[in-house]
Amino acid sequence: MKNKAALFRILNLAFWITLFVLILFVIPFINNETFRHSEIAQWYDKFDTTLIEVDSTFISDDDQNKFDTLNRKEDSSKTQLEHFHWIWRDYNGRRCELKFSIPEDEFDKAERFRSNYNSFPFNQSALYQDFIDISRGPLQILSEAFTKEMDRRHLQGIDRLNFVVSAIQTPPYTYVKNSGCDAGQRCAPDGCCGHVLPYAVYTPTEYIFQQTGDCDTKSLICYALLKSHGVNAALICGDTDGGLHAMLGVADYRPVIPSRAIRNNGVIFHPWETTNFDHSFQLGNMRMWRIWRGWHVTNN
Amino acid sequence: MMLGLHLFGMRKNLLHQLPEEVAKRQVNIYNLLALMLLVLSILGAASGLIYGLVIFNNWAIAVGCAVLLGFIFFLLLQLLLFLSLQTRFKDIKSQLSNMDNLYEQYKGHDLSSISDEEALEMVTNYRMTMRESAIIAEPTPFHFSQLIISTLFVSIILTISFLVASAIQIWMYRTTLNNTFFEIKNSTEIVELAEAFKKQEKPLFLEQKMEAVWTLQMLTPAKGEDFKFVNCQSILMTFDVLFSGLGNTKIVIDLLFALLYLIPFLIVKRSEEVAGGALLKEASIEAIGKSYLMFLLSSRDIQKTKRKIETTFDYDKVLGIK
Repeated sequence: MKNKAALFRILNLAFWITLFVLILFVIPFINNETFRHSEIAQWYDKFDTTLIEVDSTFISDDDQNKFDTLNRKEDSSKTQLEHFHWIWRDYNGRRCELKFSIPEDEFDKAERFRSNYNSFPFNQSALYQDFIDISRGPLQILSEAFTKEMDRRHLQGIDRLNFVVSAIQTPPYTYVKNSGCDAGQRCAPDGCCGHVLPYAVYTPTEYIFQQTGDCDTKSLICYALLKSHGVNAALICGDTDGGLHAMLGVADYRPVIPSRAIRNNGVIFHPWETTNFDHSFQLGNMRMWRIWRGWHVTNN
Repeated sequence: MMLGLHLFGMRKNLLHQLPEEVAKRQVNIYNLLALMLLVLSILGAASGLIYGLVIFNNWAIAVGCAVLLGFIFFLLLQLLLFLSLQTRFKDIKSQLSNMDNLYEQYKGHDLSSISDEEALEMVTNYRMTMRESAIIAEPTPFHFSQLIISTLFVSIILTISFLVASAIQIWMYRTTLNNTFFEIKNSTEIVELAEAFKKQEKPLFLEQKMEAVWTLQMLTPAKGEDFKFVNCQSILMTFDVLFSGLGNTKIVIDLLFALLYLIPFLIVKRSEEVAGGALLKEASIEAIGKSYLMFLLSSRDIQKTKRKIETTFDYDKVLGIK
């Protein structure tokens, strides 16, 4: 009798347990956990007007900006201010310059903060935001200097963004490593900075003082500056044929060179390569990379 | 409570043939099966209500849909369960599937003289013999028709379970869906595309622009109306967003619903207490007995009538012979 009843009991129990498990999905915690909002991002694909097939054409570097210079004048007075005079050319070939001063101790403060920074578990987004926060003072000074200069030149719209980004792009790309560099390489623009611990990225303050930066250092300062000007900017990261890479993302502006874009919560961010100054490195273009995989917004 | 017996068409007098303990257990089992059937039908009615609300955005029509769909699902499931109720006892099963075997033995016999009492006694004796049957039938050899019938049954059950599962998921994730619809409605990307379409600036990306306009239309209630359930007029768009957000969880929930709908059929097909149960055995014997009795009585009447015709009918009159 017991054996006869076993299957019925098991199936009967299975029915009510299944019903109970289904009711559990109504509980808000399980309900929220099982509905993945990140998946909804793909739903927006049907509205994508930015996807252009990437061809294999590689846009080579533009050498037209060779005469860009960067002058950093160190003040010997006792004001403890470091004076900067940046000179560069924008995408239209116009000469641009910017003068500003930042207290010297800001550099030591930022360097100390960066070298003692400990993030466990590692959170890339929080790291970048903390670096921006510690550089708040110098960034504000630089931002005000940019505003003043752009207003003086009556720049509007995308020209204002070009002005800021081309200034950061102009100092040549510098390798920033947490290991050592090859012998003979100097920690200067176009060189290599070794043992930049712990995460091989400089704070915006350190960049302002040294002008040495790789992809994430330069993108970070661009992102911070554009944000301070009220632009809907983002720091975006992803994979390329050159490995993991960071770029600046800008929303609400028409791309100058449309290629691909990435989407975050229904907002389109056009990529902007910041590592070097180049006429092809303008808003929207990512064709300098053949592979474009897993790009996402890190900070916005 | 005899709800189970009523739903499955079992008569109360069948229980009198069984020992009290067995009868009690059998009533319990059929009540549980009936409860499962009712739960599944209520879920079906709930899905009708949800579909009605999403499609028509009107409570009265939605209640109508709930009643209609609940009733249809109830009848369908009851029918499928009823068709699956087959006893496992070999002699009874073979007798039910071919009653001619039983009638063969009376071929050429004179039944015209048997009385009602004698016929009843013959049937009662036959019932007693059948009750002794305890041999469980071996699985029937494979036949293509079985495959088709089983596939048809399972397909109908899975279709019902999928329809119900999708509707219940809309209810489960209603708040999340409404939040997502709000985000979509306020997405700068979609709003800009829709505005660009209205301005007819450039004939570029028309497909995306039209899709954006349609999406915003679907997320806006008709004039003077509010959304009653989910903030979207389109059931397909609701499914689209729901499936995108749920991903593999949707498959898990669908499988759970499929399991829920298949379990009663597994019980009816596989359980020793239903297919091999005393009540179903008794009901089958009752059915055979009734047919047997009707055969005997009708054969008797046929033979009597035939004899009467042979002896009393005036054939000469029909043929016109004077």
